[in-house]
Amino acid sequence: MKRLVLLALIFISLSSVASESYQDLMLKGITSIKKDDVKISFNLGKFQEEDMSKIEVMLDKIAVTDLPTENSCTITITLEFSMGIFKATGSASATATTCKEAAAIAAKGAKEALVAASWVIK
Amino acid sequence: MKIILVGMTLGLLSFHGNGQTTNSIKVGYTFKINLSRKSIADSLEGTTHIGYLMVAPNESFFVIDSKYEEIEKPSATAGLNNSVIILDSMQKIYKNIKENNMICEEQGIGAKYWYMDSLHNQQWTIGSETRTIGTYECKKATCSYWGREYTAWFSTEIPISNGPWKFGGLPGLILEVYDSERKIFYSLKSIQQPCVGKCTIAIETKKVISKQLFIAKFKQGIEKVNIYVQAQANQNAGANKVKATMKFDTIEIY
Repeated sequence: MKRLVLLALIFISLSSVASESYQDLMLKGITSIKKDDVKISFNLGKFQEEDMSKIEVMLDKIAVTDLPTENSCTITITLEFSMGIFKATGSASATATTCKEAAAIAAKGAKEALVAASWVIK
Repeated sequence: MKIILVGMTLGLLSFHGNGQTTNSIKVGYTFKINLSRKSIADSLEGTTHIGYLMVAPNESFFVIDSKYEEIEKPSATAGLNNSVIILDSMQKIYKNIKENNMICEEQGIGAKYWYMDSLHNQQWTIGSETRTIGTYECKKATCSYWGREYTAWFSTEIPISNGPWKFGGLPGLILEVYDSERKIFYSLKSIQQPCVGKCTIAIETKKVISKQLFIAKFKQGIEKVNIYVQAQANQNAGANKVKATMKFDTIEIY
């Protein structure tokens, strides 16, 4: 039940605080947001720095959004991009005392993983 | 001849030179790939490329390379799917039909590799279904290959036991082949017989490793990157817990 509430709050927060960015990014490949895991999927023809900055905008919105405080919260963020014969997935799952903190850590971890993936197949 | 000798000295293999060669065929394929596709119902957005199979009596060459031919621009759609991909030799395969093996050039983790693989190592099951592709009557065949289920349509009207990428071994040329999730799709674009124009190959022969070693290096490379990724994530996490991973999906599932 707590998870459902959290999910609803994430949706509400994203819609209200960052509706434009969220809608924009929905077009660009966000496939799902489920449970308390925030899953973001991008399908990029080629990994480009400007795409990464757009992703960062989304991640920042999640991180700064006022998520409810719990004793312990786990957030998983997954990013993926396809580049020709490769599909790279960067994923991070973080547990912190607040969801806000967990989201910020997971966002940075997923981004680091995706950037590393982009470098090794460049 | 001088050019061929120089090429061999450098560890490059050349294939029947420029110009028209009798007993040869050049087959163009459209190659669509979208490894992010979740189901057949999803659109096959992704990237589209042109591949060429050049077959001579004892050898063949398959290439998808921006230097060979133009790469088609995907249809305009919303989102980030439009990026045109210009990769240097996405796929390059030299098949030695006489010796029943092939050299595959492939991008590994951080480096390009060349490895030896068995020729046409697909265990096909030929079905009774038929279909016409272009003017050719085709039969259906299916196989399981490196983690994916494939369907091929081949024509005995072109009695060449070959096909795009690593596919072949059927009693006719493969004109179309795709996996069950339609993430990978090769379809006939053109046939030219005999091959004229670009019928050349330059593929590394001295740095060739086994496929097993290539896979091992690929997995080791991912492990190393993941150690780095986890270390970076730990730095950002402070006293909190974090698990960060990076993974790659490829056409062949190792």
